[in-house]
Amino acid sequence: MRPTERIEKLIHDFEVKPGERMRKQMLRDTLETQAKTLTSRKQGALNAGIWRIIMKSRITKIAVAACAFLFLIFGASLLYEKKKSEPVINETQQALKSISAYSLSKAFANGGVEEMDKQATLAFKHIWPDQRKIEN
Amino acid sequence: MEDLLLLWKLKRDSREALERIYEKYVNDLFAVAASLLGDVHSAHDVVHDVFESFARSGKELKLKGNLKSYLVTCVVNAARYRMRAKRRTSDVLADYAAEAKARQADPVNEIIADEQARRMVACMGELPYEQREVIIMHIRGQMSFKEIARTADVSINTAQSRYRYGIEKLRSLLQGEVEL
Repeated sequence: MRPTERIEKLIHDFEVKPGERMRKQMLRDTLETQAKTLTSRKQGALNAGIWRIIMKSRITKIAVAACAFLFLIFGASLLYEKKKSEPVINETQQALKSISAYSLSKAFANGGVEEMDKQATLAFKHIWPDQRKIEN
Repeated sequence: MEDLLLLWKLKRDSREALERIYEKYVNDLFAVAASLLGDVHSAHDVVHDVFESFARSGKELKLKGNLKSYLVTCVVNAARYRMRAKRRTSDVLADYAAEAKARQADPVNEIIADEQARRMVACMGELPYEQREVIIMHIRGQMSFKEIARTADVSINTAQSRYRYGIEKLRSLLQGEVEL
């Protein structure tokens, strides 16, 4: 065996042991620390509140993220629907104006029943464009 | 394999796993600490602190390498911190070589059964701390030079040359005293 290897073997093999009393004391303290940590962790978890409980578990975290995502999608679609329905509301308002008593009486004064019928047809055309199809 | 199982159990708060890890590694860690610090009382304190913080970390422990290397690194870091604190607080203790000579009557020697090993510990005390650290981590901790370099925050070449110089110095110190 080369001297370097011999030195390495000596370093590898030499033993320094703690005394039996020290050894037991260290083990007792270590286990005590573990027990204390467990107790304080449990206590901490109870005090932490629901948000921390949610965020500690991977599954709940994913579920919360999915809910938030769905909520966003739902909100966005509602907003889009609202925008889309705005012209319809305007058309309905227009139709209501067209079919008001004033406009009908004016049409009757101008051209009799035929003119009033035209006015009413025009008004309903806004809110019921496929009237003819239904009539047919 | 056993270490992986022990770690898995420890993360599930097993008292038996911690006890087994302690029994398995306490002697090695104590030897590492004693040869780094040259004083059993300091070694006792360091190993005690390391096991306490290990027990405290439990669930949060994220270990990539092997358990022994991890624990040896913890002991080396704690010993380094202790040495620095000693140097800051006391000039008397700065001279480690003198301390090693005075250690003849130290209890550490009563625990070292083998005469050659006793001489080895005394010689280790005469090495610069950085060289001692690398030698202990490599031989007792079975750590690669890459791991040592990362722990000591030096390059791999530096770690290797510290090891080489340290072994050379030990060889010259032990020449004639220990059968080489």
